[in-house]
Amino acid sequence: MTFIDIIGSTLLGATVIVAIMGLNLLLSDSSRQVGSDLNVQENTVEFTKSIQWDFAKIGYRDTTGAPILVAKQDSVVFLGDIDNSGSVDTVRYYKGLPEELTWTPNPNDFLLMKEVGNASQTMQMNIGLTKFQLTYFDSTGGVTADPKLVRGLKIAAVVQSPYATVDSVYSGAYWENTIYPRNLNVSK
Amino acid sequence: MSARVQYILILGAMMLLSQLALSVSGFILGMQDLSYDNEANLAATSLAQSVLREVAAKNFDELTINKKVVSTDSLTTVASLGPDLGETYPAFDDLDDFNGHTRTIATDRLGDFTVNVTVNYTTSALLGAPSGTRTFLKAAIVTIYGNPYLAQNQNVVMNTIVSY
Repeated sequence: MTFIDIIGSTLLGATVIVAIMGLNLLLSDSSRQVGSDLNVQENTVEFTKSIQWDFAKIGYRDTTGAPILVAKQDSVVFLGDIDNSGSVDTVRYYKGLPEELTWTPNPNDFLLMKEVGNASQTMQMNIGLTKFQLTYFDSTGGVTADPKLVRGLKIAAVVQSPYATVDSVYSGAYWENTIYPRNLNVSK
Repeated sequence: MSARVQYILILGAMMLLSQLALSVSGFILGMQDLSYDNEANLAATSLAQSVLREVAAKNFDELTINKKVVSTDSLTTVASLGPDLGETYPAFDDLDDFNGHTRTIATDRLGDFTVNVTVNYTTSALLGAPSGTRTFLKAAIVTIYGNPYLAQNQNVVMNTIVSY
């Protein structure tokens, strides 16, 4: 075996090892990315279940005739018996500030707060929301900001992973839904 | 072992390695496609639900808005299902105004989705399929398509039946 053979085979061997290591790294990054995407998508679905359950009950058992008390882009306060207990609850949903969610590396995520009754019963939903935007519609389908005229509301949300994956990108999922609660009598 | 045999063996090994690299790359791309497809399906399903809710929340028929109807002969004819004269989205007042309605919905992460709505009379036996005569049941079919992240030729279709 000549000296050139030894050098050549060493170089070739090193190249093969580097290529295999590269592939391994790529595979590991990819599975981390896909796992993170899947987590975000699952979180989004769980979040949507909770939101749809509560918002569909806006006005349930309300006798005031005006169950939406506050209709803002980042918060809503409404009346409705969301737990079917027989008594009407005052429910408030509002977005927290990104500064309040310091224990995740994602600088854009915030908590979604849900208050039932009073501030002592605040539930903090940490699902990685980076957008939570409400739009309200009147009976003609036009956008309105007047709580008394609201017949439907659209929730647009983006959920992101707490940790960046490959290339400092956060996994994310977009969800939007328009809900026309039965007790708001949209067609009237 | 002669030098020629060694060269052939090295060439063979490199080809096997290249094949492995290609397989792994294909697998990774497939996983990423699947992830995007999942996200697009999630968004498309929520959009379809939204549109169905919007349609179902409207009055049953133009002719039932201000009065009660007891005969199907008093409803809008099958041929006239669609927006009434002068009605444009979003100011639709009954659910069959959405028949033939198409619009594009923009989303934050995945771009545009196109939505198409079809509304027809149906019967409990037809389970949403079009009826040639007027009935007290209308079926609304929402189709979401036109987004590059949805798997090729895949539409998200959801439907509901609304009764008077």
